[in-house]
Amino acid sequence: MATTQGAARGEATTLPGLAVVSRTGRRRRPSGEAPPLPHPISASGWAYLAVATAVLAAWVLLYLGFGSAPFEALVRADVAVLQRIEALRTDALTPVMLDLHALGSEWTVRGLRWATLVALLALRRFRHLAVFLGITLVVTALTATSSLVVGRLRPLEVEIIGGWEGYSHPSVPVVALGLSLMGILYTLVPGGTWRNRAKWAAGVPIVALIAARLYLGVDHPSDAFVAAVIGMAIPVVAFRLLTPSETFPISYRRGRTAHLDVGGRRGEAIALALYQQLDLTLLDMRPVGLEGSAGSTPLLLKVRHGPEAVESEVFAKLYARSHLRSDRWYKLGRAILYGRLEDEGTFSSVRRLVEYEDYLLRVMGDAGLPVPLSYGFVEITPEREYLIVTEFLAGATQLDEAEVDDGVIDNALEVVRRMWDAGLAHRDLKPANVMVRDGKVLLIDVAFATVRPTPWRQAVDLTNMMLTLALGSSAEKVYERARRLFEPEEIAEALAASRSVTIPSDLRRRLREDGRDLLGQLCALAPRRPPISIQLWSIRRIALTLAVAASVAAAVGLLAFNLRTAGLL
Amino acid sequence: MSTAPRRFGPLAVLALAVLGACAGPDTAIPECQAGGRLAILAQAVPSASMVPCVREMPVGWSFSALDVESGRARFWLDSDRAGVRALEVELAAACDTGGASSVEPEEDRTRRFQRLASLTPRFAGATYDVFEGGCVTYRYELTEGAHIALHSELHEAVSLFPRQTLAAELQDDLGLRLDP
Repeated sequence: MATTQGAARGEATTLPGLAVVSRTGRRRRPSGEAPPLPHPISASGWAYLAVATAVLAAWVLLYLGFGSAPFEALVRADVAVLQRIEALRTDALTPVMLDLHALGSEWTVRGLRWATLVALLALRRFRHLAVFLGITLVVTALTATSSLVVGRLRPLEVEIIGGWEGYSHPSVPVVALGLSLMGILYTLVPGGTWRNRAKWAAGVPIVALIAARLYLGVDHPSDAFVAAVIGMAIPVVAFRLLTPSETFPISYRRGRTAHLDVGGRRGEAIALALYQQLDLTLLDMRPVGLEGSAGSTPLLLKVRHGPEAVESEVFAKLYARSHLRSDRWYKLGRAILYGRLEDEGTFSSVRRLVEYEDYLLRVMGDAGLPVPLSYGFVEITPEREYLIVTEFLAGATQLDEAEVDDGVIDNALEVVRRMWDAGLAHRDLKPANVMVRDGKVLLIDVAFATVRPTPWRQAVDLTNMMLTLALGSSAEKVYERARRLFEPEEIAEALAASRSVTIPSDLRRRLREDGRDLLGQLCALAPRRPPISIQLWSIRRIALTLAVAASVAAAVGLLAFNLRTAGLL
Repeated sequence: MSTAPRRFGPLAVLALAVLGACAGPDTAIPECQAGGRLAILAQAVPSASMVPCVREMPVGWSFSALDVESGRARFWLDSDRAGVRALEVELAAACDTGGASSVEPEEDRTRRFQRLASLTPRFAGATYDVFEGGCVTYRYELTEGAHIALHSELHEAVSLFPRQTLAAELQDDLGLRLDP
């Protein structure tokens, strides 16, 4: 069995790696075929949805027709059950039930919800936090509104011996407790075995509260049942739709939460997609370089391909909608911070994002830049998840782990010069994205690159590359070598365009750890030039800034109101 | 399938908006007629032989909110001249009428007391209707000058409904007793 190793475009004129990968395999494509990883709502999810729909339908039929025969039948059935429970009251059991009744108290619910909010903030699970708050508000509003619309009396024919508040249907404390516990389950408990166990644990207090309220005669059985559905089924379905475990896994292992779990069904789907769409047989897959990647899940794949069953290692990045949102926020932030210098649109879908990276790899390769070969991308779930597959740069090391001699410095600066000449900018130059193999520089992670960038952005690229190189050598050496390819005025302009915010956070951190004032030393070597203002205003920037400021103000204003509505204040 | 979550939010908001449109504050008005909206006030104070209700809303007045719980029921009326929640009506098993003056009652089998807290800048005070097993307190804060008309209007708006009548209606409608 042969093994091959690719060569980055721009690094060599021959492309032995590309030829070994067949782009399409011959297979029948039945119409209506499901994608490798269909968007999941599990059987239990559908069951929850069916129960919720059935209850809501029954609710509308029974209660909007107040005074009708079905309504009266339900009331009598409820009363009959309550009278049987009333017959079980004893002096010993009543205090126990009164204590259990406290499970639905405002303070219990507030405690649970605040604990969840604080935990989510501490764990920086902002997606889960937003969904939890949203579901809490929606369900609370739904409960309050339906209670008002139905306006049901407390149970008749039985003596009510517990405290109550408001109309009887649906049981507000049961909704509140169910919602709070489901919130904890779906935002803090890892999916799988732990969550399945926790579901049983969560069921105990809910059942206890329902039992207590029926014993005390404050709720009808149908009030409690519908409340359990509203408080549990709706949150479960909403969490599954808005924070699916496959995309937003809950894990307490160390690592960035943006990375997707590639085991289980997703792992099988990746293997299937690679086989069907790129004719690659997946032999092994493992995450690689997670710490240097925030926007995708990088993977090292071992694949078999071609008629000779050649085994190769290829690199892949898995993109999901969560990554798309990260990109949107990132670009919005930059548009506000840099204004006209960085005005840029966002990607409308994950597909567009992956297509763009694939395109950029090809454009940069065509321009003679040393970037990995793109083998294309595969669709895992339409419009939700895609995997871009590129050459794996075997034998390459990150720049900060390699010897940075004159040859490497010259080569790296030539790459920047070539990008300037080709009208390209990488926009994320930092040690983790500059690799070295056999004394030659290779650029990776071109997802943020752009064609026809602003001159300012190209200038920033030069500074970031110089700083990256200086980390492994010295400012004097880098400046001296840079003068071979750039005019002193060009270097001065690049350095004048740099600010703390224009330097990638990873590079900033390494500069801090290094301790030398490398930017200051470079500026001292270059001709004097006043700093270039990065605060250039455009109508778009003003509108965005105002819109964001107004949104933040409105959000803060609404937050207190909504927290009160949701029973958190 | 892929657009389901995107549609979920707007659909939920739309459903809530529709429900909300059906359920304004007026939905909860405890009108002076037998039915669940009034009977729940009677359930809040099982000893009360009468419950307060909204008889007829005078021009310029509107229903604000209802808050009912075991032991107490309250509702508020807004006035375009006296402001938001110009009148609070509270039903409880008992009330403190100390310092209040006895005045002519409007309903049979009740005693009425009145206590003024201030005349200026706002005409504020409380009226108490005391009856068997309960008491209704009317707390008001009215605009000076228009207060005589407003005071008259608020007592026109709110009346007392006999518990016995409510219980009889429920027995007829559902065959169930209000007080077991």
